[in-house]
Amino acid sequence: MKSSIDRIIEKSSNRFPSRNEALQVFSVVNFIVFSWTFYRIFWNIPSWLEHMRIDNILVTAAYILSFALLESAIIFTILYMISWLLPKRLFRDQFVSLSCSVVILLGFGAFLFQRNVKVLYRLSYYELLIYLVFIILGVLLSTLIFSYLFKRFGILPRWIQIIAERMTIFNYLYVPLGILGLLVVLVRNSINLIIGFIQ
Amino acid sequence: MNKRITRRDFLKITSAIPFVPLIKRIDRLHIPFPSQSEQPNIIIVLFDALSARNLSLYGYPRKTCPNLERFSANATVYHNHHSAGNFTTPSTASLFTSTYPWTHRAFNLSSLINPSVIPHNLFRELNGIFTQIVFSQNIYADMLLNQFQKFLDRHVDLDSFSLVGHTFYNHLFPRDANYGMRSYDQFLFVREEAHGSLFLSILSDLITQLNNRIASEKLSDVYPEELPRLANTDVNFELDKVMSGVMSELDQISSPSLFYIHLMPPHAPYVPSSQYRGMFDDGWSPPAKKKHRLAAGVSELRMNELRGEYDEFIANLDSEFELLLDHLQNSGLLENSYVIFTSDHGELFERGATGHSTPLVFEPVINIPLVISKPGQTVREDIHTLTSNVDLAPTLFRIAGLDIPSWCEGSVLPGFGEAVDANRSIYVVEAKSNSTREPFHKATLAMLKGQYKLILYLGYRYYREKIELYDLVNDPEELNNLYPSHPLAKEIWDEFQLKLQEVNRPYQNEEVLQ
Repeated sequence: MKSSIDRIIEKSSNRFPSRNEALQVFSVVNFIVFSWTFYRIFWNIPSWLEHMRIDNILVTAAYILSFALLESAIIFTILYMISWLLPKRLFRDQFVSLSCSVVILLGFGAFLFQRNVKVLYRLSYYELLIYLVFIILGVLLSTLIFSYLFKRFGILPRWIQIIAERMTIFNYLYVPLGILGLLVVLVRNSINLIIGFIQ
Repeated sequence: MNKRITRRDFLKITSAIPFVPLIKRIDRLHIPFPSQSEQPNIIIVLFDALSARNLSLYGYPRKTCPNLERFSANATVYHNHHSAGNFTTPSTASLFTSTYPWTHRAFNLSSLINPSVIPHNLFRELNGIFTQIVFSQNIYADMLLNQFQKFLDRHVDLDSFSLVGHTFYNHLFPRDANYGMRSYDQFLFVREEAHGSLFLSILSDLITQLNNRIASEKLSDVYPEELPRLANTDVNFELDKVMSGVMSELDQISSPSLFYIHLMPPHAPYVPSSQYRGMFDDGWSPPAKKKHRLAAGVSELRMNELRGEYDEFIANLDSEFELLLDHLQNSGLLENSYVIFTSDHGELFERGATGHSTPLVFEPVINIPLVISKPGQTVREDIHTLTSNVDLAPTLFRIAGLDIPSWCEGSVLPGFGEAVDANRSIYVVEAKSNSTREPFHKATLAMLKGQYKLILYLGYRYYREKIELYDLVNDPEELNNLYPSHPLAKEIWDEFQLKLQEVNRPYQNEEVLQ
């Protein structure tokens, strides 16, 4: 006879998506985060070239790419936790399509926001709170709407899954770049720590 | 003799490795040099973006700095002191290295000192003579100080003594701070620009701004509009808390120390406390000047408003300086220290330009205060000779009893026992849009010689290769361009051209090689 703890563990693990589903969602998150980061890097490169050598730019890029990997992991973890927290029928059963849709929607919103980021510094306390609440409610509401739409029109989740599957190819480029960046950051900081001690 | 390292030898050596850091600590016990106990302290207090032209000490009609005037009563006042650049990076790099921007090459906004120049700096020369402590509230000056980290005994964090907000680089990557700053603070979470981080930066911004609004609400009686802020960051501070922090750091210094204090005010945003807000609503304004072709075109009304706020912020800062001054007097530090009061550059409120993000190098943006109180000085001395901030490092070397290194482009300041070359030229370089690896092709360069100032504008679309010449004695407001008609114009231009060719030569060669 199973103990109550075993039952809780079994129930919890049922709420987590499979490895393949997780990979597809991570790929979409990774693609959006890295694409934006690369866009900003290339936008900045002309000004960096004015005063930085290529090796300086590469090290800076290593720091940035390691953070992009971390950011992808954090966003993915949040989605993973939502899947665990929300009722199975609402999120887990449509994990790939729902997560991808929410991330794409959020990414689009963030893209629009980044283009007009100065507005944030002019907002009052209450306007800022409204923004924050709006974002959270927007995510929850869009999740419910997407969930309804995906159940109503079966072709939509299939399309999104097809897109998510295609996105996995980018992992082969972005994840190694992120890991390489992380290694550069770790090595540089470790070496500088040792040099600092010796000096 | 063929002696092999045995396993026992190897173990002996490796067991000693954990004690290596101790060697460093022993080195820092500061076994006094023979002359070390005789050395006074050196305390450099630098207020960012403080123009000498807006100080009552130098004849400004508004009473902006009564406490600085009190300090100057027993100090040496330099009336004709200039910065080598019109914004923080080139000018502080010049101060640290005693070289002009064409040598140290830190003339872009966030550029660093050229690696070949890094060994030539005041912290290296004074290492071992003074305990060296630095605190900069300016992110760009802090980047430069990071380059000298190995010569510093203590580097106080930029966001120390702040109220709300933080920077990333000094907390996350203290051992690789400049890359941390470039990637995190100037790219991923950069202020007021699209961030490199798509999602988390927005979350970070929202939380930081919420905290800011809560703090602002609490202090709305003191700062009714907004809190003072470190430029280019989201770090807010209260002026008196920062000054208290600086004073607590001063209490801890061991003699002899060199303490470099770089404070943000009165840099924009100009945020005087309520006590000073409106104190210069007197309707006064200086004579209007013709709009310059390279100015942004700000209206006269707006320039006067900003000038008023700036003056009020200076008056606010001066009252805090009084606390510092009293503290120095009461603690006895003023008696046994060289206290140096200066700035890195000034501010402009004329010809349609405001602030210092400008290609212009008129006097208000480059004429900076310099007041030096020597240990035990009881009388005021006024010096009107032309000086530059590249002169400060050689002066410190002289104070420390060192020879002046050959790489110094500045000379010992007048008033320190050296003969003064009244005929020498000093230079100002503004080249934030020019590549640091190329000769000057888009820049504003100025040469000051005697009473004359020659300005060359290079590469600007609507003001290309223009030359202006002003007589600073007979025309201190720089209204009449004498270049087309003055008999000395050609002689001054020829000297400047030669200098320009000399400083451009190494980079022209590099271009040819490439």
